[in-house]
Amino acid sequence: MNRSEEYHALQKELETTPPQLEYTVQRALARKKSLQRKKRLFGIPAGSLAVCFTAFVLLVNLFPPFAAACGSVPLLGALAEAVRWSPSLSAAVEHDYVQPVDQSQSAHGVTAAVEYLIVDRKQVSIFYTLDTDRDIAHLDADYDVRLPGDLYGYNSTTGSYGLENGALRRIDVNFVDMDVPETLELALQVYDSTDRWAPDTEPAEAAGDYGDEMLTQRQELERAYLAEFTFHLTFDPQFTAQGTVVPVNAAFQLDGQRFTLTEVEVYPTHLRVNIDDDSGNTAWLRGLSLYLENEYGERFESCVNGISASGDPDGEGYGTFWLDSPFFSRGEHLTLCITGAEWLDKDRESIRVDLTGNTGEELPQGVRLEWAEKREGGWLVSFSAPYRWGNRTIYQIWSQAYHDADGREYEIDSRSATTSPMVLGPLSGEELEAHEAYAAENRDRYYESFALKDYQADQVWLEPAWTRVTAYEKPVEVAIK
Amino acid sequence: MDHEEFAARTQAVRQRLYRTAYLYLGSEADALEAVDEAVYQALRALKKLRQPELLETWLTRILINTCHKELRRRRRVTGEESLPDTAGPDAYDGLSLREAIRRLPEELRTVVILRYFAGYTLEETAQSLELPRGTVSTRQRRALQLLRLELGEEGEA
Repeated sequence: MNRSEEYHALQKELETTPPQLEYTVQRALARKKSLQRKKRLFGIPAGSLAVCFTAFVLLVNLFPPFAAACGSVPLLGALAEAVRWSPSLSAAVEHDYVQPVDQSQSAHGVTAAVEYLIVDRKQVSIFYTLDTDRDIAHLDADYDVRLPGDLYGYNSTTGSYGLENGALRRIDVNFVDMDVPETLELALQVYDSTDRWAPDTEPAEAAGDYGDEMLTQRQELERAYLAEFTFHLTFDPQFTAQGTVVPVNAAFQLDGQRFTLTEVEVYPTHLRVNIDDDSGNTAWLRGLSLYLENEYGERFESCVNGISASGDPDGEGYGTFWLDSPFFSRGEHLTLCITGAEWLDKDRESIRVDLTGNTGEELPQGVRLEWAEKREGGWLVSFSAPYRWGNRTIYQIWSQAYHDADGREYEIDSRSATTSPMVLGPLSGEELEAHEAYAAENRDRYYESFALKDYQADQVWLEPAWTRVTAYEKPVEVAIK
Repeated sequence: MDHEEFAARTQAVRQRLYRTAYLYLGSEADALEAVDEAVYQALRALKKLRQPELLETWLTRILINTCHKELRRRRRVTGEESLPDTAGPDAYDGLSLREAIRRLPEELRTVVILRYFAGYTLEETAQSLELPRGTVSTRQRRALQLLRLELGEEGEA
C-alpha cells in the first residue's frame, strides 16, 4: 500500500465512530451535575455563599442585657445565653418563639439531649447538650444533618465548640432552594476533646511547618467516638409556616450599575433581600455593606449565621443578601440602606500573577502579593487586602479555581485567613520583632494564604472574588415597605 | 451561552473531535476518553469563554491539551518520543502512515491531523492553534513532505 492508499484507508477508518460518542455531551452534563452535588457537601455549593469571618471583634449589641435578664429563668436562661450574639434569635426567644423538644439519649456514659428548636420556613436552629458521668472534661460532637429522601439545598453551621459539658450548643441549618421539611435527622458522634481545650496540655509536635501542612493532602480525621446518637426531629407546622414575602420591585443604581430589588423575604430567624442585576452591567455585584432601618431608627444588620449573601452557583454575582430580621419588631416601615458595594468587573474574572515577582496583571484594588514560596509540593502564597467599610471583617480575596497557561483548571483546597501576616514556622527573636513591627504597620490589612498543590509553573491565573470596593458616604436608600 | 446551545454545537463537532483524538492517541477507547474529558472541561469553564462564536476552536484547543497531557503521561511510562526535528522523510518511510503521523514533531502533527483528517479549514486550524495562517500553511507543507503525502489544499490526493 502506498502513502496515498494508506491515507484513504485511514480516512475510511475514521468515518466509523463508536456509538458511545453520541452521548459525550450528556456524560459531561451528568458529570458536572454530579460535581455540583459533591460540592454541595452540606447542600449549598460552597461558591454560592459569601461567608463573613468576623475577626473576634464583635460589636457590642443590645442583647447581652436581655440574656442577663433571663438568667433567673432556668430554662430560657440557657437558651438566651446560647443565642446572645444573634439579634434575630434573641428576639425569637424573647417572644417565646421556641419549640421545646426534650429528647435525650444515653450510651457508654454519655448523654446527648436536644432541648429546643427555633424553626421557620427557611431555617432550623437546633439546641442540644452533651454531658457525661465519665471523667472527661470536654466533649464535642461531629454532626450530620440528614433530610428525608435525597433532598439537598441546605447548609449547616455551628460555632459551638469548646463549651463546658452540659452547656447548650447550637447548630443552624439554612435552606436556600427549598423550605424546611417536616422532619430531619440529626446524627451526633461524640468524642473526647479534652486535649484540644484543656489549657494545661501541650499541642502535639507537628512534623513540618505550616507550609508543609498546607501542601500535604488533607487527611480525613479519624476520631475515636465515645457514643453515637441519632435524633429524629419533627417540626411544628405552625413554626415552619412562618415567613412572608414582600414584593418590592424597586429599581436603583450603584456606581452606574442597574439593579431591581425584587422582593424581601421576612422570616423570624432572618431576612433575605433579593436583587436582580441588569444584563448590561459591566460588573458583578459580589457583596454589599447594608442594613435595614425602620421608622423607629432600629437597625437590622447583615451577616446571619456567618452568611452574608448567597447566589446562583452558575453566575458570578450574589443575588440574595441576608440580614437580621425585623419580624418581632414593632415597626411597619423598612428602608434598605446600602453603604458599600463589592464588584467583580466582568472583564477581569481571571488575573495573571507572576509568583516570582510583582510583574503580573494589576491585582484587585488594594491587594498585595505578600510573598510566594516554591517548594517541592507546589507554591505557597500569601496576599493581603485592606479592611473595608470601617469594620474588621475578612472578605475572601480569591475564588477557589485557578488555571495554568494551558487553561487547565485546579482548585485551592487549603486556605487560611488571618488578621496578621502569615508565618509558616517558628520565628527567632529578631525575626519575631520584625514580624511584629510589620504587623503593626499593616494593622489595617488582613491576609489570605493558600497552597497551589503540585503547581510548579511561575505564572498562575487566579480568579478574584472581587476587583474593587466602593463606600458611599451617603447611603443609597431603597424603600421596602 | 446556555447548556442547550453548548450541547447542540458540541454535538455537531463531536466526530471531528473524535478523529483528532484518535489520531493523537491511536485507540478508540483513549480517543473517547479524551473527547469526554475535553467536553467536560469545556462545560466547566464555559462561562469563561469570552467569544462564544469561537466555541468549536476553543473546544479543539482543550482537546489537544488533553491529548498532550495523555501523551506526556505515556512518554513517562514508555519513553516513546517523536522523531527529532532534524529527521527527514527517509526516517518516516518505514513507518505506517498512522505511526508516522504520531512520530511527527508536535507542531507538525497537530496541523496535519486537524487539516487532513479532522476536516478543519486552514482558518479554523489557525484559530484553534492560535497561529497565523502562514505558519499553518508552512507547517502543513513540511508535514506532507515528511510523510511523502501529495495532498492538495483540501486534502484531495
